[in-house]
Amino acid sequence: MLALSDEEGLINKASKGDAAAFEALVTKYDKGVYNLAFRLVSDRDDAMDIAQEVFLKAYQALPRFRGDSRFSTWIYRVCVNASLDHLRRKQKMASYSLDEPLSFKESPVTREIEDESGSVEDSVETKSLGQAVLAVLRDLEPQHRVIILLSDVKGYSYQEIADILGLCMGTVKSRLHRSRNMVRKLLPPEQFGTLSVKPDGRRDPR
Amino acid sequence: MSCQVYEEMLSAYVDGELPPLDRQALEEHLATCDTCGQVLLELRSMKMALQSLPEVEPPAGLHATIMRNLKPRSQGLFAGLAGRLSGWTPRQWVPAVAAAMAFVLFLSVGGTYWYWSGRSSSGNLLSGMTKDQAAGQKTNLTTRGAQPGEPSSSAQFEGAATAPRAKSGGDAGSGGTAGSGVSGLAAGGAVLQDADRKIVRRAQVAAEVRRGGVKQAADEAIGIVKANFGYVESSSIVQSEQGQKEAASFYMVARVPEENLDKTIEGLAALGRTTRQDTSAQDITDQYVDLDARLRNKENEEQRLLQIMGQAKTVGELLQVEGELSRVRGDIESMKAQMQRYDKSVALSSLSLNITEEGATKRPPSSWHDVWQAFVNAWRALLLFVAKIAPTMIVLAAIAVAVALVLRKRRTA
Repeated sequence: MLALSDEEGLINKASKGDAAAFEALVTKYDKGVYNLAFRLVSDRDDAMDIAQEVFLKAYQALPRFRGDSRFSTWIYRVCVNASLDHLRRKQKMASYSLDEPLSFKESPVTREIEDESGSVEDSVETKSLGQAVLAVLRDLEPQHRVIILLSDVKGYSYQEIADILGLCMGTVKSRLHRSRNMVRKLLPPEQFGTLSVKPDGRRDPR
Repeated sequence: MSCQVYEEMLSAYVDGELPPLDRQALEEHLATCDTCGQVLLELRSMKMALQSLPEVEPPAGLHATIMRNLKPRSQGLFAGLAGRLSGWTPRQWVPAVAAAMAFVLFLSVGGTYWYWSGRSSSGNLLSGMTKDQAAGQKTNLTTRGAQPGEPSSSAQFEGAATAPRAKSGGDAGSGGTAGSGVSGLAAGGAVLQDADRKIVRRAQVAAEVRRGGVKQAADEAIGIVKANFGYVESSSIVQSEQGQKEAASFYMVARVPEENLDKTIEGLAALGRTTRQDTSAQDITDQYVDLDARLRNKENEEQRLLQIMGQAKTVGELLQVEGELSRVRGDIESMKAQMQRYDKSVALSSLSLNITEEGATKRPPSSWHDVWQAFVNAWRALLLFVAKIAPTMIVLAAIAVAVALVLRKRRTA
């Protein structure tokens, strides 16, 4: 992994048009960007498109990157915005094709799960908790999905999440709380079966 | 504190983002509350499960595709500007748009206010003028501002300068007045008393009568003028449509003997509600005296020419003198006519009267129409302002962009 000062040098060179320097940045971040996009839109092809778009945009905008935030924060912000845009566009298009027999929302999601880990039914029974949470996340609003992904999958601090999403700290905190509670209630109770400390299995105090 | 409060802290606790004090309180609570402990357990396991998810490998072609599609940066000024604007997040452009809208709103409101205040101040100006004119009427000597077709202000100034001398009595035997040299003959002979001063008085009266009463009021007004030995020079009754209602108005110009003017005005003012009453007095004594002197000079010249004609020897001489004589007589005629006009305007004051129906002249002051009109005017003013300032702004913007570019180049260098 490159040291921070090296990254700064790369950014400087890339912003002056050094393709090799930019390539080094791509190598460093393409996996992270692709993963975030994939977790957000739940489609490999779309994630690929988004990742491309993110880096092309970043290259164009690099001279305006002023270094007042970290480069990773900046590029993930571009990625989140591109993904959310993509979801909005898709939603709009889906509303145009209402008479299609298969609801858009379900088909790619289902297929995605199948690709990775078999059918939906057994994913709930046999899959890891992480897979189950991901499945629930797909049904949440993008704004809830994105904040959980940034916090838990990417491991960003509240401050960094606030920078990426353009929110204030308080909003990040309360939104995370709400989003996590949604997931918790949507998860099948069996997923926590082994964790339960209470003999009666009561797990949802309010 | 209830579980609800602690439960809300759990999420931040799992993330390690809880402030130390809260953390301590929460940990104490967790030691006693199994319910919250269960929630914590679930949240923590969720987080850990997501953390331990394997990363998905991006498709092999991603890296290559990106590098292949890398386009050289657009360098144009507008491309950069557009890129920057499109790069703005809502948090950046929402305030910008809000500021722009606030500015426009400010201009609208300001313009409306300005329009209204402008209206009220012009109203004050008008009433001030009326007061002035009333004062002029009282002293009878104030010279009025030049009206179209009247002698120039310099003539009025001479009039004002002569007035104190005339008042000082009959001791002034000196020849020249402020007028032309010829007038010395007349002025030296007769210094005018106050009573002899030639004053032209004019009056304007506007009155409102009840609806449908214009015709009757007009007849009465003409009657009043005649009773005061005056006559009507011109008059007109106009029926005009205002909105859905018909409105009638009456206008006349009358001449009234000067000594009856005040009485006539009183009579006319009693016709209805007086909305305007102006009187003015103009001192034409100097023009009058000057004209009188020149007239006498011409008459003397005529006499001399007649004597010369009697002594003429040849037909040529006779014809020459006769030509001169007819020119002088022409001058005398026109001067006498002017004299008569002066006399008439001094003897007969001009009085104009305007009678309108109630409610026809003024709208309700705060009608929506006015507000709308003010709004439209404000926008019109704003557009005009923008149009006028545009060239300047373009130049300034060009300079600003140039400076920004230079600064950026220096910083990146």
